Amino acid sequence: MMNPILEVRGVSKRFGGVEALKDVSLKVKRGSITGLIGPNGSGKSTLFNVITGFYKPDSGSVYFEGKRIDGLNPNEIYNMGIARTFQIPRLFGSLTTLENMMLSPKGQRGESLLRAPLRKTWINEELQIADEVKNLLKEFDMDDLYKMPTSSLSGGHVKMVETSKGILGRAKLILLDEPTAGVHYAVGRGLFEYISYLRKTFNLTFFIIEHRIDLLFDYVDYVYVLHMGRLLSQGTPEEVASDPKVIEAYIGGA
Amino acid sequence: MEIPRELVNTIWYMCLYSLMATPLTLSYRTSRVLNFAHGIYITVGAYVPVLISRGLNISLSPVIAILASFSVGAILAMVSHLLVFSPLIRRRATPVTLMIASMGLWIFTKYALYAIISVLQKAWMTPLTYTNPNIDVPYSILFMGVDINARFILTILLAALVLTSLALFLTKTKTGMAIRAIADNPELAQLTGISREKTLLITWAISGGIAALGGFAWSIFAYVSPETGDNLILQVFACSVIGGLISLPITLIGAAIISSTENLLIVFLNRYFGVELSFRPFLSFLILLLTILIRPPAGAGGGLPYRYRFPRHIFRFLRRGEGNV
Amino acid sequence: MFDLASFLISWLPIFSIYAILALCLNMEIGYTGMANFGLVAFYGIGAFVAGYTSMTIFLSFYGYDYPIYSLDAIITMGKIAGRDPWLNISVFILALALAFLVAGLAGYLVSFPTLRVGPAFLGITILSFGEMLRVFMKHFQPTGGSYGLLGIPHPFAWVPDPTTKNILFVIVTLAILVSVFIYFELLANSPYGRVLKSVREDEVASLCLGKPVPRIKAELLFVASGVSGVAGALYAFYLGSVTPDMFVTAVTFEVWSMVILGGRGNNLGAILGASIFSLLNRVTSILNFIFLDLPIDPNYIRWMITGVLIVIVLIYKPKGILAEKPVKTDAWRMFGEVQRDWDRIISVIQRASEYFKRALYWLIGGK
Repeated sequence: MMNPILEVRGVSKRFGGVEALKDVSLKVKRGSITGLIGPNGSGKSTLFNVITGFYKPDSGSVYFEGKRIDGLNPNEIYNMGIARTFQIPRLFGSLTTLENMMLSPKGQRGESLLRAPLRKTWINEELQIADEVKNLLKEFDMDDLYKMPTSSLSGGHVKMVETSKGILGRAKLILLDEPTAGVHYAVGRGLFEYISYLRKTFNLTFFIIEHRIDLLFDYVDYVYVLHMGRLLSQGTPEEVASDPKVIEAYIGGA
Repeated sequence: MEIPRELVNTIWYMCLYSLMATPLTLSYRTSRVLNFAHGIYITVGAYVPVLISRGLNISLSPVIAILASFSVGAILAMVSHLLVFSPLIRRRATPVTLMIASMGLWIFTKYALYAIISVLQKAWMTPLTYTNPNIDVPYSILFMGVDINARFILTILLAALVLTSLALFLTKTKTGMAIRAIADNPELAQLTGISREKTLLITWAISGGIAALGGFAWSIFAYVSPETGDNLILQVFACSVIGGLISLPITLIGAAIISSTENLLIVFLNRYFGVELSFRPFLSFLILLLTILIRPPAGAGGGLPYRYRFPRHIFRFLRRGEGNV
Repeated sequence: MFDLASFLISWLPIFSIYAILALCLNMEIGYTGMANFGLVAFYGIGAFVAGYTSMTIFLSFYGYDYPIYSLDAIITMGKIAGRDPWLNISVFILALALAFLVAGLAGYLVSFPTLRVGPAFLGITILSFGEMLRVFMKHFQPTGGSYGLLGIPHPFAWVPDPTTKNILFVIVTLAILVSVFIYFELLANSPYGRVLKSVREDEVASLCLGKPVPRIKAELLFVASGVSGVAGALYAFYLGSVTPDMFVTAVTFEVWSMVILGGRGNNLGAILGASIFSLLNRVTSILNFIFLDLPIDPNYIRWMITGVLIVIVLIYKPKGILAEKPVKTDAWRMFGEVQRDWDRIISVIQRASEYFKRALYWLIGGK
């Protein structure tokens, strides 16, 4: 693989007595949709947490576009171009949809303490972002919801706002943690269609944890399988689906 | 044989703080409320024997005083739960909201007490602030030819008895184990059919009652005023925080630490470094601060997945906020 | 029988000082979610810095050698305080600036260790720090120990007429209050204000969106503590004396009641809360003054009402009287909203400055 956008090398992480990740190595190709699957407790979310800076790996390293990122803080990682969504969406409940979405773009000048009182220094950027948000909301068919506090949005709408974080933040790599958790199959398919569209249009890379393997396999280029913290298998959806180790892990084990 | 006064004070304060701090740990552990009104249970517990003995102009038997203090403290704590904490918890209030509500409760009860005392003071024509109850316990008795302070012995006995009963209650009785279950494993507790509301109420009653006993013990030790609880509350917090706000035995160790600091360490510093005795709260507050910082209590949330890397952090601050990296 | 002018002169400075404190606390808890239970510490630091600076400069300017807490110093201050208007005013301004910087720095430094502790225990951490500081100050000789400092030079001590002197001070405190309000409103209605709110709602999610959360908290605590220090400095000049026991937790609680009642997350609400409580305060002291033999001290009743009010508000109307409004940057224009409120604020400021100008003309010209 030429210049993977993300490379994980020999990452291990243990919590107390539990080895959540053991010597995991993988590469994510730029512009691909790559999947990460495995039974419950296999360490998928932990791996995401290590990549996005929540945890420092005990050993091993993580590279993004050739630069070493393990041990950096989550905000630094976001500013390098990696966005991450959560399984249970973390929006800012009492803030409006508009406010939520306008928090995603990076490096906003108006966010600094010194510049904030001086309107002229940030107002143009602010209006530009607002325009982009307006267009995005129109695409999602959520125009009139901009003023609503996100705590009163429906589940599907919440997912859309959560997913939009990466787009507005101009992320190059988007990590999605079970994007179709808790939504109808049809909505899930719509989400994956949108992900495909984004990948094609903006050349974004997606790394997705997903339990709905049937849905996932229709869209991914490459899949990694974790089991009990170790990399069990990898390959195209077809290769993985017919790998006896994978079948045994899902039916037999955890 | 003369026991040095400092040692006597240390042990005395340790008993006092044990009685005052263990209920705070218990109430936090069970309901996750850091109750700023806790000092009031102490003050009330100290005032009940005062008001009874001065009001009826009698010399009160310690047993009656103890029972009275405990009951009033327990009732007050139960009312706190029913009127303040329970409605808030039902409305899913944040820990901060609960703390502020407990402060409101604290303020209300404290000044209600002030009001009651001022009215009674005028009606009974006796001073009721900076006073002591008239308890039927002599100041000193002769035991095997040695002059011992009976009140000191009473305090030690009271603390030992109460704490042992509490330990037995929590480990051996059904209600006690229910309390621990609710505190340490709420989901499981609900599954086994323990009534959460009833158990919480009992916990608050015990908590308020024992704190009030701490107040009673104070009343036979030193002067009582409406500020009694408030003057001690941060030290009591310190003891509980040393216990991580969950462990009762370690809270006792905390009581020992704070008591030694205030009675032994300060004397040492006074004799060799000229530090004034009134400086002692500083040391206790310092211990409180350091303990919170070094070993945050349970449920503190531990905060952010953020690791400081100092030199780069400072340079970023100087670079006038263009966003990071 | 009721003299409105003297009532206002006695009430407004205290109201302004508390309103400034309420605004600071509102920025801390209402916008950023930092429950500062130790606000009084920065208030006190500002007051002591102001007192110390002003007295030291005065005494050394006139060549006196006395330590500032000594009786000689106090007597001397009484004599020299009214001589030179420019000295008074420049020392006043310098003292305010230093109070801001020192209190602000204290707030900034305090924010670092508290990061480990989590939002729930931030309050009690700062509270213990504040109490430690208070006990320390009571034993710290250079600032007068537990007696504190006396004889702080009033900025308008050189004005012959005491009423004018007080009116001038009222104008200054109100002007500072208005400036602080405008500054905080500008901060709040900007992307920065939006980021603050995101930290309040979910600091982990905010961090994951690239916001430097610890730095944001530290910077905000710097500003809010600094402004609290300015309020403390104003208080020191107003009273002319400061003692460590003035800065107890009860003060913090009073400011908390103002913010909770008036509305968390709404700066006007903070001012509303401050006016309600400071008026209540004034009314009870007047009652105490007029009726010498009440069955119960009205102060006790006031505190009891405050306590009950807090609990009731928290249970039934946790947002307070005035609701929090969404961050008002022009982003709404994109959706067809007209930015009416900003124009309203501007016109209010314009009208207010007209009144100030007229008041000044009256004072200088009409007298």
